[in-house]
Amino acid sequence: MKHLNDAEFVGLLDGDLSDARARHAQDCADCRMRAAAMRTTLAGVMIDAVPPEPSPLFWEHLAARVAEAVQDEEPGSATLSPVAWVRSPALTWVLAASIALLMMVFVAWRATLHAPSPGLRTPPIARVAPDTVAPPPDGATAANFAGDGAAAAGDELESDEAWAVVRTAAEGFAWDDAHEAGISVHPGSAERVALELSGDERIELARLLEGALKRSGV
Amino acid sequence: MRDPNWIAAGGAEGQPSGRTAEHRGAADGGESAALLDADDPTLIEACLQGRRDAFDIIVQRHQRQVYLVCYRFVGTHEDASDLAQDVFVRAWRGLRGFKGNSALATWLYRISVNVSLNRVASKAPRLEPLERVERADHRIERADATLLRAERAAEVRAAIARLPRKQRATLILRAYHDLPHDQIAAILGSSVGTVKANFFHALANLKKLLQA
Repeated sequence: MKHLNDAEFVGLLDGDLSDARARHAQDCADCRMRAAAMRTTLAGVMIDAVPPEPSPLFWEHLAARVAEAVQDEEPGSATLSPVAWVRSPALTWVLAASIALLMMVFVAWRATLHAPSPGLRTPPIARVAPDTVAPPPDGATAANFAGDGAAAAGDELESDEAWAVVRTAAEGFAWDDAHEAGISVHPGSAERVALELSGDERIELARLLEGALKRSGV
Repeated sequence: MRDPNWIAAGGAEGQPSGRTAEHRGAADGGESAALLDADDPTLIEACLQGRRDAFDIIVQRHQRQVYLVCYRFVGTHEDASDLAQDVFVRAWRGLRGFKGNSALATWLYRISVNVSLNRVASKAPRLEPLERVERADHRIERADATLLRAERAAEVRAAIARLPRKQRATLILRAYHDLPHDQIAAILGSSVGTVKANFFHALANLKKLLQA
């Protein structure tokens, strides 16, 4: 027969065990030994069963202390602890909904932050099908050919402070110094950068290059 | 196994005259006197209606039980009295949340155990000083039954203080307060089976600790 389990040993101590199991506890030397050890330990615990008795005046003093401690409070004034807030189902749902809303707002904000501003959006001409584009008239520059929309976009780009900062920095850039400092251009870098430019940026780049070529007399 | 100092919930044995409640209730005439005999649910209802003297009666009725539980955990009168006060203040504040699903005594036991466990978790138990620290040779010279018993009791308290929280609480409530397993389960928020298992393991661990 199986030995007594934990609960059955406690039941044996309490005198609350079925007859069959109690018989096993008597017949089984192992269970008998363990039960005897439990009884001995419990008897040792009960040596300290009577705690020191406080002064008789203590009880009145304690009641007065409690009365004084709560005199300025209304009954049931306890606020929910943080754990209780989390355990409250309704509040848990509200908390979850708030977190979800915050996450959506954050994602939307991030998307807005990295989107191009309306003024820098690629003009419609960039999306025109190739066969609808008329060839440029003789003598017309790439910038002129871009049309009025592109010109307007170029003006907006010109007025963009961020672009002005980049351009100013580029104008003062000494390539020799950069080369000496170890900053060099790898093959294909220019092409990669050009591919990453938007339509407006390519138009502005073409205009700048054209201006630089004219100044240099090439 | 019953603690001779155990006071049944709602009992008034060993309690002071209830002067606080009577003093406060003087203005209310016979109403406070009527409350002295009221059962716990009636007192709680009276508390919620603003009758502070009803809470005085609750305190007087249960303070011994609360104090003794706290004492078992912290081991000194000063700490136990502080904790007992804390238990009643928390009970007052949480009175509106007490739904009456369990007896008031069970609820107060639960608060007492939680407050005590939190206290002993935050600082090491400071047990009442005993003469047991005397050297062995002196002990032999002065060996008498009372001293040896006090020494053994101190060893038991120290060993109980080293038990895991749930085992410790279960042992104290079962051995010293003679509470049935189902009430201990209600106090500790666990099942009766868990309570029995904790009691079993508490005794097994105590055996090892006392032999060490």
